Amino acid sequence: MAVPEWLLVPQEQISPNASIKTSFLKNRLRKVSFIDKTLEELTTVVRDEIFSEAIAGRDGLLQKINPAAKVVSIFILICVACLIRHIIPLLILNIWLLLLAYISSIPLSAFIKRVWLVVPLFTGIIVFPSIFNFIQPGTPLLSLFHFSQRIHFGPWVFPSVLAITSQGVWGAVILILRAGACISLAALLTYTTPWQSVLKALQKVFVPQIFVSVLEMSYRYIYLFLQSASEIFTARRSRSLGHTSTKEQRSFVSGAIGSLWSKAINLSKEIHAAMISRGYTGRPDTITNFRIRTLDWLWILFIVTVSALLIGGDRIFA
Amino acid sequence: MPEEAIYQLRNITYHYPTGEKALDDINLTVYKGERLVFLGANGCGKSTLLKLINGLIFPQQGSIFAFGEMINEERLSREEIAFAFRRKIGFVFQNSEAQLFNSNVWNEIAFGPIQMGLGREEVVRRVEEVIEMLELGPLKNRPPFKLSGGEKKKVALASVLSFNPDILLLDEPTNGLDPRTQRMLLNLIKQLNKAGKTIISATHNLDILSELSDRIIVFGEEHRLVAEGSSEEILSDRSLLIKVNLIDEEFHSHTHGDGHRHFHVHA
Amino acid sequence: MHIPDSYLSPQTTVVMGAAMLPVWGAAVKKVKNNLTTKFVPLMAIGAVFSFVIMMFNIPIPDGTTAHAVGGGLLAIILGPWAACICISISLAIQALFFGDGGILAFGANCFNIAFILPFFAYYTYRLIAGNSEITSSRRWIGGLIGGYVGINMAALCTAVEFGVQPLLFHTANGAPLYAPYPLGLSVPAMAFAHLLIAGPVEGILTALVIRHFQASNPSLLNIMGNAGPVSVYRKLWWALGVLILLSPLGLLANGTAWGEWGLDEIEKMIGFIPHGMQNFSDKWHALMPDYGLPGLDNTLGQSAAVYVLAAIVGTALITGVTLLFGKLARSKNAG
Repeated sequence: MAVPEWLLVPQEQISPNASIKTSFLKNRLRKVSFIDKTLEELTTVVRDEIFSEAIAGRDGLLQKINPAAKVVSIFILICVACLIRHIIPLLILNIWLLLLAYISSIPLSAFIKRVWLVVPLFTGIIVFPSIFNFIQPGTPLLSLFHFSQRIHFGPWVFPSVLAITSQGVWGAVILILRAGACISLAALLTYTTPWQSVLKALQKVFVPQIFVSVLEMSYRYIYLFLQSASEIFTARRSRSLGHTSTKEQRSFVSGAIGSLWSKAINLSKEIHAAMISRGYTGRPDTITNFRIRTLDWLWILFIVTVSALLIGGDRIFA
Repeated sequence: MPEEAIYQLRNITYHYPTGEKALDDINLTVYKGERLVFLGANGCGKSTLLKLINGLIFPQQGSIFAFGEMINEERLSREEIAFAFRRKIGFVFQNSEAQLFNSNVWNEIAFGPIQMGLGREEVVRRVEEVIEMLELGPLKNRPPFKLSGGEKKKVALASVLSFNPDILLLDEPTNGLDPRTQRMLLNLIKQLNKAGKTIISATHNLDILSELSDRIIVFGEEHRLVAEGSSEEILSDRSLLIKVNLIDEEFHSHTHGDGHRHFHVHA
Repeated sequence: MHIPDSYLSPQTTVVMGAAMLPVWGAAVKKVKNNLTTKFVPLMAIGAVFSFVIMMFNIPIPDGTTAHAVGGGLLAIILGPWAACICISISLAIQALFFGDGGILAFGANCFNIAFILPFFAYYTYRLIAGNSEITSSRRWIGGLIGGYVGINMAALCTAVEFGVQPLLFHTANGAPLYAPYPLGLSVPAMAFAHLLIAGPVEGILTALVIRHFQASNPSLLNIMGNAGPVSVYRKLWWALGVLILLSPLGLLANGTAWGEWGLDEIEKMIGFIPHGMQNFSDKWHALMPDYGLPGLDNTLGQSAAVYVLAAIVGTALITGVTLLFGKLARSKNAG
């Protein structure tokens, strides 16, 4: 094999004065590749999820509850959170969830970060406009701005006074508190339960085996695929210098998706062969050894009581 | 010695779905309890042959007899025949990533026995014993993506051994393994062979030939069988190895005191 | 487009979930018959693919990025039923393990992203591509328009689900209980984002990948074998039929919370009051006259005192029992 000559000498130096080239590089730095960010973030999330299995192995209340009972109770409580209509019961629910996190050995700082940094940011931004009276007319809480007259804008009419309405604020607070409770509940489940137990629990509760089998296998291969997607992008980053055009980036993305798909198809064929080889006949089957104990029954009873108290409180007292 | 033939392949020709040829007119007999190696360069069709033997793919021409019975797609689609056939054969794939499709090591090892219809207690007992034999205890709750390459290969082997097959098919068994794990694997294979199991492997690794084989079948690049013999016979035939593209002119061989022959390149 | 929990009322999520049950059932039946033992590995890997694709961002001319769902693509290469399963699974993983999209809202998310999107994308594609050659440009044009139509239909459904919330669910003084924007706002907002940005992205992505396959490996476009002559219109009508069946959801917008009608409203709707309900209602009112405790006048101070007291007792009870459970669990572990 003949090695080309240029490959056998050291790489040419780039003069630091070459202003054109550095501006190239600056441009590139500013536009940190559109996808690297998401992929890196995601790989981190996956790793965090995996790390969180460490919490699932700790000694705590929720870790002791049978996963099936836990899935049912989390589901009930999400329904409860969505049915509550007043601020006080939602606040009580949220504080109680923090208490549950605490006695389940979940580090509170991590838990609060995961829930209360994210929820106000996302839900908050989405509901923010709704606190003004041009979205939803209501009792003004605070008048901000007086226009000389009503403003007509296509089919929409803006009132002559821009105000924050009490209904709007009330609705926004409720939505944020409720979203917080729902995310807390999902986080409690994932923090305290190894994912395989979550899947086994689903199977015990309402989900047909065939879905659980597919889900289980998907989850197992996500990490592998994120890695190969990551690799495709890292390989590209290490080869590309300077600014690439949007068109090039697009053709790269479609190529990456294409090659990922052919990889996926080949992998699924190999997996199929490996399954058939070990006697798979189309009926997935697993051994589960879940035991529902008295503690679990007591727990469910307790959750139902809490739910009744919260909803009752919400409907009658608040 | 009089040997019992367990496999007979007659005039096997196989094309990939794309039309490319993978195997051309293969005739082969496998005897019970032997260690057989398919030797050849990358892409010569040896992995395809293992898949044919396992009844995962079927040849366009020729016929395969296993344990005296014809193996074809129509027969293997019948569950009771597939059952009886598959439980006799364990296949350790080259790509552990594809072989380990379960969510953790324990489930992986249990998959075969469960599918083969063993009772619950028996499954648990076998899985635990295989785990103990291969020292996989600390890994048993781990998902496959948290295993190293060597650990994956061990688990793949465990997942096959747990249903106690009579024939083991190993595709590039030592690829990507560190020397210590490689040694462990080779010793285990030797032990299993002594216990009467038939071992069929596919490899391009000349260093492990003598330990892995009683008999070697060499594949040419044109997807045909070109030679057959003991590891000593094959390894001493330098021109054959050059012809099938396993080595080039720069390789030399040494024979050590114990008769082990080994190829390498001097820098 | 992933709806988190708390934006939709539980009633809506129940309806959407119920709508998905027959779809999932039919999908498993159809796809499993075709694939038999290949079902689990192909669907699982398809789900992983759709999961990863949903993470892909694609640059659009102004320098920002939009994320593609890839559902149209999946529907074209695997068929809409298989795509429905794959996307549902990947949505389930996102909801369960990544907090992306709600657990209660899972049915609604599946309805929009795993049902409406792939079906509209696929049948639009088939309508345009017809039985043309696998390398024909009708294929990628079909993908372009299919992806665009699919994601916009899904967005429309999402917007409608959001938009009916403030009409159906609000308090007596008009404060919204769930998503606050009415149809008049949610539909234009979602339409704007999807007609102009997400739609073109999805369409272009689908088209580009189809062209990539046409050039490099046409067999990948035909994984499931030939679908045969498709009765495009019949199936499209079927999908529309489901939508129409679901629309009473929007017609029930009478200002009362759905499912929480007063007795007079029930009477208006069905013409009579079920006897049992009347009985129950009387007893209930005797027990809780005007939302106060029996035996107490409803003066403001008194009620407030009762509320606070009850809340404190209730909360203390819950806290105490929770801590007790903590102890119980720990001692179990020690024993």
